[in-house]
Amino acid sequence: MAIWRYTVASQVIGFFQRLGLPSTLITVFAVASSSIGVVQQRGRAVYLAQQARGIDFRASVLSRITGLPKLVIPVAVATIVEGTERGVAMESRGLGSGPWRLTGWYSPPPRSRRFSEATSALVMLLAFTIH
Amino acid sequence: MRYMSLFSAHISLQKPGGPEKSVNFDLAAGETVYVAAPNGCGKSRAARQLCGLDHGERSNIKAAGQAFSVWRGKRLTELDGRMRAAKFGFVPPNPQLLFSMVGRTLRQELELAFGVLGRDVDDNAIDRMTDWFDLAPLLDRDYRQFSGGEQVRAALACVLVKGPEVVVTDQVADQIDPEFRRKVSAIFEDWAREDGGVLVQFATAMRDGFGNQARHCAFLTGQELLTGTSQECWPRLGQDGPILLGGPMRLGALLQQKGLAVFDSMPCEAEVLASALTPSSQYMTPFVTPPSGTGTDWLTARIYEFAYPGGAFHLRDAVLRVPAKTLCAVLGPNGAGKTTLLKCLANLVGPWKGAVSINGRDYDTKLSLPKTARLALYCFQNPDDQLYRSTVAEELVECSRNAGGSSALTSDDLQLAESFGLMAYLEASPFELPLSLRRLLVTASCLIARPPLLLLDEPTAWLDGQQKIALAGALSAFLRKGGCALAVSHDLDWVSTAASQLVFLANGRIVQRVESSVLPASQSLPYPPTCLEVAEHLAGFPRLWREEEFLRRLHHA
Repeated sequence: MAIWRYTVASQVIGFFQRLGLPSTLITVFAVASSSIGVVQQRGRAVYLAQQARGIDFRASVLSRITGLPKLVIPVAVATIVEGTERGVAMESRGLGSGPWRLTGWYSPPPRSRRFSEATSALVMLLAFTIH
Repeated sequence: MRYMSLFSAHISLQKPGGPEKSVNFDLAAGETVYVAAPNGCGKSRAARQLCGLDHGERSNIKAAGQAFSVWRGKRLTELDGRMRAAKFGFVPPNPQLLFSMVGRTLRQELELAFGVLGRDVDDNAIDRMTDWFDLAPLLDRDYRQFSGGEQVRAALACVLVKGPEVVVTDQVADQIDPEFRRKVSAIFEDWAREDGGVLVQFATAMRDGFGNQARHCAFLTGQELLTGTSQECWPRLGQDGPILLGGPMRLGALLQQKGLAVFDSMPCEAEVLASALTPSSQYMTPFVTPPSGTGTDWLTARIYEFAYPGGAFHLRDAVLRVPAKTLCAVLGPNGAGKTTLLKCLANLVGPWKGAVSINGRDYDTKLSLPKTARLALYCFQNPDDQLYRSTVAEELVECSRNAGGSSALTSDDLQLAESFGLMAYLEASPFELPLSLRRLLVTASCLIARPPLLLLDEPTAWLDGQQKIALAGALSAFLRKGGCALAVSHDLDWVSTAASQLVFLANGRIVQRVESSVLPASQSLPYPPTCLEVAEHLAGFPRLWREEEFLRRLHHA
């Protein structure tokens, strides 16, 4: 999770393009890694909404633990539901319709950073395969 | 203009158990078409069908029978996905969905629009978008932190930057201020005319297409109600268009009465049309008399300073005094700080300097969020940010239950649900509701909790005329029982009839504060007036409800 959290989708794209992987696979990884941001955003929104509507998660350690399902379930449901609509929007933009052309910001990063990013990407690949 | 059919579509829609209804569109290059209709008739579904996209917004309306769009003689479903994405642009009602999350800044998203289509980045096109949509201050910012209006501008740029031939927007104007709405309207028409494109704008409010040569359609339960050029439909109206709180159905019916439009046969819509033709007094006068304040201040807020991390925006010296039983509308251009002000009051952002008092109970930035919720309940701008329960009934009582109130719906609550059209969905998942009903659901949930201070962020966004009337009625009932409400809105029509106090913000400061009841009529402002025009024009607040004038003009047409 930590690797997923700190790996920027654009770097993954650049790395995989350099490896010459098929564009479909690159798109799958790009969208999968960018979905981390979507889940985070949705999680923050639900957490804030629940507190803004009077649920006190911070009252005690017990309330934090018992409150976890109240947070996780709606985040999961909302993410899945929103995912369908996001998929339509992404399709309308052309994501997944063919190979991406590199631009400056998602081209491969400097050599000094490549090792850690390549490792991150391979771990992601492994995690995705197992999943 | 030589008529050249660039794009045509045959759309079929079906309500559960209902008959299949079809609409044909035949659109010429350079044309702009506005499609107006009440919510729940299938606009969003039709918008997606036009673009050859499979899934609709959450709604009961399903695609049915033979539906196809034809672009330059080819069916969209037969087109390569990349070609379709290059030639068709689609802007959903929730513009956030268009941001890929692959990049972090708006500039990266704009560049991505070219990258995913396998093209080189066109800096000229990006500069053009930056200029059109005033994006210079936003380009290198994280788009996840944009305000509602900024998101709409960024999403429009992300779609237009790739130079599509057909653009379909789905009710995107609700979150942008009137000034920018005018500008976007002009941009769209210029773009369609100069680039030979077609723009189809699905919107509840027809006013977005005023003062132009655009073709208009009113769309009713999947059946075309009226169509014609704006010159045919809107004779000599110019920018002094009517207010459409009564809804496009009513307008369509008025036009039909005057013989100004051709209608298809509508055997099943007689009842709807009859209700649309009820005496105009029902629509002309404020449909809800705003309750007058009791004199003493219910809410006193002094927020001297708040800044987001990074210092991108500052809210300064916001001092508010609102009497009990009053709806105070917070107006201002996009990015003025309206939502931020409400979030400060609800302690959703902080820390801020200052103090708030609600009916003698004081709090400041240190009060926890759940405790603040018992004093000031915030209704989110995007309803999806607020929903998390598994059924609509549970959502309705959620705020009340957390505040120690009843967890069962009372008869008053059920009446509210009925007026909002939620009764049929009580056991359904909130995530299955269409956007307008999700919007009403989150508002109903806050109203049922009866907080001392209700904070509404764009409460009329995505609502149609009848739903706005229901909302104003429910708010009026809430205020009669005590408390007060603040509503951020760009909907001046609604505000001018439902609110009794107006506060104007610009650049993070309150620039004007007025009682709407003491404002005389004025006809001298363009329509729709921007908030700042109204603020500068306070010697004569415009009467935004000008149906009488509209009827007079129709009579002479």
